[in-house]
Amino acid sequence: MKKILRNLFLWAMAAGLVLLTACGGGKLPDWADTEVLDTQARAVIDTMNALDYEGVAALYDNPEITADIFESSGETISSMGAFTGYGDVVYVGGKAQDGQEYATVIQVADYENGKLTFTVSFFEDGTLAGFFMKA
Amino acid sequence: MVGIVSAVFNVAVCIGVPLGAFLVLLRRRSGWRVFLLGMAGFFVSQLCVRQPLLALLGQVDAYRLFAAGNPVGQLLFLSVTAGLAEESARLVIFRLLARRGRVQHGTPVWYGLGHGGLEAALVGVNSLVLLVIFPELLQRAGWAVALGGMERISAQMVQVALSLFVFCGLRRKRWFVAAILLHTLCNFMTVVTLFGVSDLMLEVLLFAFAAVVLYAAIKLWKGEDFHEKNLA
Repeated sequence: MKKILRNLFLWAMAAGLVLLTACGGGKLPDWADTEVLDTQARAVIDTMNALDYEGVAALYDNPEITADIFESSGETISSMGAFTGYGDVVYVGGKAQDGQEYATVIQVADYENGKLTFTVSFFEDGTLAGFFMKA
Repeated sequence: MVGIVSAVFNVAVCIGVPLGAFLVLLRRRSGWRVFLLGMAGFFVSQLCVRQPLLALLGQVDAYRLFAAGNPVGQLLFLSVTAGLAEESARLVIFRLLARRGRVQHGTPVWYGLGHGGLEAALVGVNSLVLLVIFPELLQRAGWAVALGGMERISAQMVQVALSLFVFCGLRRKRWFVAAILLHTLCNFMTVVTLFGVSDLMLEVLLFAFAAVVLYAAIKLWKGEDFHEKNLA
């Protein structure tokens, strides 16, 4: 039995290490400039804060992304009270399934009733690759 | 209709089974206090200590950035802290019982049923509320609603197994450490869903894990000598 448990732990730890390595943030693409990314990400967040869902959808180069997708995020933002400022930020890079590189800005934003974490990704041409928000 | 039946299944598993176990113990006039202590162990370690600390941590920007940038790392962190909090509570309560000479061979089983019972009841209440207030939501969700109840069956098995490990840990510390690691591993298994594994497959994996761990724990428990002088 001890052998079974020991093997279970070893396999779990090995799998955990592989997963942790696989999921860590990648290096930013060469074209990415953190100052530009900051400005772009904050513009997207400001647009969301204004509950301008059409405006956020328009930043994608993808006709399948429509304004209604962002309505539930808007409801969360509304429940957080007034926006009071930006917190810490980190940048990571990644690759889409088609091999296209993107840069991701993870930005904490402060509101009257707490904090939200925004994950905003951009392709090289400045269009949105992804937008995600966590309470 | 399938969603409604699934929710009734959840309520039966999550509320009916723990309540039934408690009533049986109450009728036998043994173990019901330990069952309540198990509930208290979960309540204090999770709801009074761990969850408020995590809520405070959620106000720290660095933690939020870590969580958003490394979901696997965050899941590992949450799994380790759950293992530490719940297993420590279990050890403290078992030690107190042993010092007062209130330990019987069935103590870890009753504790595990109480601990896992309260945890399950919280899920069950959720299903009950949905059944009463939003039945149309359940109808839309279909059979997937039953996954919550399935998960609680596995979780209850794991809770009893972990109680047996920690109980054995009163004599040999390595079993207490094993309980923390197994708890961590059990919670961390949900990581597979980040890599495209379906929720149903996750439940199958969790059940298999629970069965193996419970089997190992029972073998260990049966082989130990739990005379009180060995535990205090």
